[in-house]
Amino acid sequence: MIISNWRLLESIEHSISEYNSQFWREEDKNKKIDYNFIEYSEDGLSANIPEEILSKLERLMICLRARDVGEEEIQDITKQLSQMLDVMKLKSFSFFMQAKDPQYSHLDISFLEHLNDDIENISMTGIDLSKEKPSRFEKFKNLNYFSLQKCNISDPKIISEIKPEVFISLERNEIAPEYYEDALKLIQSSNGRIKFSVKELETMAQIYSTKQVELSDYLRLMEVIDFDSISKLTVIMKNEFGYENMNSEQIVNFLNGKTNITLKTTPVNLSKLDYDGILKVPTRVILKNANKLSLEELKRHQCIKSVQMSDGHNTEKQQGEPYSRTEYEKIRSKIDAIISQIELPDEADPNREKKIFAQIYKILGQSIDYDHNAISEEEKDNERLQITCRNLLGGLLENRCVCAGYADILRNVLACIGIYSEYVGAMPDFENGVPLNLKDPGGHAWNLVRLDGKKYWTDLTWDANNIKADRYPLRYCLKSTREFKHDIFKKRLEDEIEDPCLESISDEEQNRLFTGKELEYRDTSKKQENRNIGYLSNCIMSIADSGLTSAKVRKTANEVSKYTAMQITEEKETEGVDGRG
Amino acid sequence: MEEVRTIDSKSCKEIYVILNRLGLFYKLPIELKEYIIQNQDLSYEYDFNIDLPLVYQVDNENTKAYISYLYLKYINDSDNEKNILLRKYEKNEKIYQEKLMEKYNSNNIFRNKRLETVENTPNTIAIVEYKESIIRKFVNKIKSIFSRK
Repeated sequence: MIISNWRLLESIEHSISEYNSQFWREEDKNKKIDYNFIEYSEDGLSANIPEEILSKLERLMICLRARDVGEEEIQDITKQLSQMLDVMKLKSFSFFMQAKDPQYSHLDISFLEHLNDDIENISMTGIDLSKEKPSRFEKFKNLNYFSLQKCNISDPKIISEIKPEVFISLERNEIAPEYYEDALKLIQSSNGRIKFSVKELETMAQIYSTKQVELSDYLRLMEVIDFDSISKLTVIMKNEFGYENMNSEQIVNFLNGKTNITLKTTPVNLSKLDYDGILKVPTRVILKNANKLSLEELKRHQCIKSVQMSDGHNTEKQQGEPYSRTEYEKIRSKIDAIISQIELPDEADPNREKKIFAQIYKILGQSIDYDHNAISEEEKDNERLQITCRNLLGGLLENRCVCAGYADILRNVLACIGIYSEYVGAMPDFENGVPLNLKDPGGHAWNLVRLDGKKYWTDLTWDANNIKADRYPLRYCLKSTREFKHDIFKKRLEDEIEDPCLESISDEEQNRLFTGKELEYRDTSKKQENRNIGYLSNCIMSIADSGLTSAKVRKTANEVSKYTAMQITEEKETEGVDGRG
Repeated sequence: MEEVRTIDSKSCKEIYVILNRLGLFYKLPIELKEYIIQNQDLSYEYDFNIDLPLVYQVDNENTKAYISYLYLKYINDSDNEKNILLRKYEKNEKIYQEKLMEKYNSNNIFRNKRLETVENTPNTIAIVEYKESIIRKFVNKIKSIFSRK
């Protein structure tokens, strides 16, 4: 087939090059289209392209600038294009006419008749389609995506023959207000899969596609949209939920009459609307931490059916998993019980927050065990456990969790007593931090806390065993960035750069905070030995938590006793260690 | 009768490196120290980073058991901690035995073919005893009656 228009020829060359790029492997090289089969004219502006090549191409994109192409050339292009399309089997066809707003190109699009019926994507931009009929697109039954952007369309009926499952874009067209009702019907039948540039229509389309609506839009658009026909609609209540024609009580009464909606909001906004506690719509409250919803508030709002907690930037998917009302009740009761054990220092105490923190850290470290089972091969597909061991449920209600659980619990308990902390999640830094001989530590989580005006890093997961064994000072508690020693992980806290943790709590101060006593060892070498025993103890406790049995310890004792013949008699008299005591 | 094995050379190396680096090797009895030093696998390179929790750096199940016992016996100075550890080992043993029982029962009811005794230590060969099931015995008996002699 002779292609005599160089702009069209360029588009085909582009398609060939795109086609060839998929065969980058050595073994596929013979599948590429060989340019030698194309016979170019001497000036290179036209060519004879075998139909076999054209039929292989799946995508064709034609890009023209209106000011460069005269009317005669346009006619020539569309004519040749029609001939080409007769032999092509395209999956995707795009025709862009670039022109300054608000200009449109007036061209005959009858070449579309020559497109194969089973094409999947069609995009046209910058062409005046204001006079086109919906029937023009009727034959395309296999479309996934259909875009008519900036095509001077005011009546959305042009897309009425397109299947409702197709994603449609009518952006950059000015839909006339008298056609909004028609547009809404199309939005409704396509479940919102149409994009408009008109804000009102865009909002409506979003409501249908996401099944979510802001309360203010819900009240404003209820005359236009049949919200009752949308099943499982989520109404989101933001700060500005008022509606000039209704007061809070009327809104509550109106919402109570709806059976297809659930409400999503913050406790503060819920209190503004439901101050009498009469709202019956099932509600999910979104909190930053457990301090934002007390048991009293929960009791006042019987409509609360679930609680979702997220700090909005650091916490991860598992911590954001919603809790049922009952679960939250148990969680918050447990937090309150922990807080009730705290001896509150005097308000004027300069170390007040540190003293509170130490008590909470100790209670949590003593009561929660690391859940080795949750990270075992057997349980890795247990989806529920993979969540509960990383949010508040496992650690607070079953006394078992992994690092993310420890960090989320500490963050929430501290928040409930008014201490600021952050959840910090990080992945191993294999490029810079993880030594070669270290087994993959996996992701890890810890906290950043602000106590008495200073920021510190703290890692309850890695300190918990030493807390259980009553071994102080702790190695990873209230440390500066330099002394925290978590370099094997990539930290992602942006504010660390602006406001780094500069100081650690000294061993002496930490010991006083946690035990109320002075450090036992003054001598440096003894102090170091004590620290090293603490370090080893941490590992031994972890090994025990991961399942070391008394039978295995007894067996080990037997093996070791071979080399300690002198001690055997003495050992037999020692209770406990050999497992018989 | 249970065979008493010796401490393997890789574990000797790991125990020596860890305890020596922490300055706690001196707490072991002299005979044991000598054995560990003399029997460590010198070709095996093992080092650890004291800034990171040791548990990430010990992968060998034997070393974990040896070092736990040595800690409990010769290094630990806290009765409270000793009791916590012993309780944990007992609890683990109970869980392990329960799992074994569960396995044994299901085998017995549904398969009734083999009775497996599995040792909990990875370096001990499991004793596998084959017992002919009642059904199998019956089938064999029938077969033997009708089989050509």
